[in-house]
Amino acid sequence: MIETGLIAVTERAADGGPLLLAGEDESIAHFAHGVGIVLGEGPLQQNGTLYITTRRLIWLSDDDLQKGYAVTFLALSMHAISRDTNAYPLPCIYTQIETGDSDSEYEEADEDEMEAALENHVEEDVASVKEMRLVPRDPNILDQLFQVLCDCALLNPDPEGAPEGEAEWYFNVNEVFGGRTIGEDDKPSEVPNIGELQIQDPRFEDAEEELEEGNGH
Amino acid sequence: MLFFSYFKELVGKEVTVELKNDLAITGTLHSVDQYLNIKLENTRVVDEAKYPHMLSVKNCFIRGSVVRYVQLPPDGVDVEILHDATRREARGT
Repeated sequence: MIETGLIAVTERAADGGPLLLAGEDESIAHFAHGVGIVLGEGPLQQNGTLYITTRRLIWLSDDDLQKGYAVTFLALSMHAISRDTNAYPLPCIYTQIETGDSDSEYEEADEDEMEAALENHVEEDVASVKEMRLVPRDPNILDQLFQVLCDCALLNPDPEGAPEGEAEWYFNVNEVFGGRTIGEDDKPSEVPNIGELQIQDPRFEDAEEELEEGNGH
Repeated sequence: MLFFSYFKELVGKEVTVELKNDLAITGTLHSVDQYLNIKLENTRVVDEAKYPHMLSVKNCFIRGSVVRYVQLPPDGVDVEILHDATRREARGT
């Protein structure tokens, strides 16, 4: 079963983190303090902590211990880095959420509904939220958040339909060996990625071993 | 498999990805995987008037399951490769 839509989180683990899904092999891949959240066209809710797990994206309020939201990667249709202040005043991660409504058409926020929801503080309506923004206090972490989201999304293929072929991303070789990552300067770089060299260069194959021997004797 | 193989050839080219929610995004294809998850760079929304808040999403990850169409650049369509690929696919090899 695919859980669609955003879910309100009212309970937490003893350590203040999210309660992880039992039996689903869920673990926290990354977390970041100082992240605000915007649901739909709603207001910015500041002071939260973002948890990216191997199954879900979870935001927990720092101010209200009963407030939080979670969405599974299966329901996260899209995520992107938004830096255009015309689109939103603050740099953020922009996401679209599949709500599972029979009406899955993209709706340019139904303003009347939204306003009504805001006025009434209808928290139960989180399930119908189609867009969510994550606004870190430090915009420098956007690239990292984006990358972790990509990595964890890949851990969650859709259950139906067998995958075809090898389970690997296809990359532009120049980009990979140029050490570029998504979101960086677009100019190609000639500098090889050091991590790649260390792993792939046969000269380093027994480096660890030698090091151990050196230490031991 | 055919689509995956074919889309790999398009990495670095500009494509337009149309989602099932009618949103269409144009950008440089950065990478694609076997689930047809798609990463685009330097994206722009095709219908800017309709989706003003999406204006400049720079990098974008789109789940394969929400993709309806991928529009190819005319110069990205290598008829020979397509012929070959479809023949091989038809033979089931």
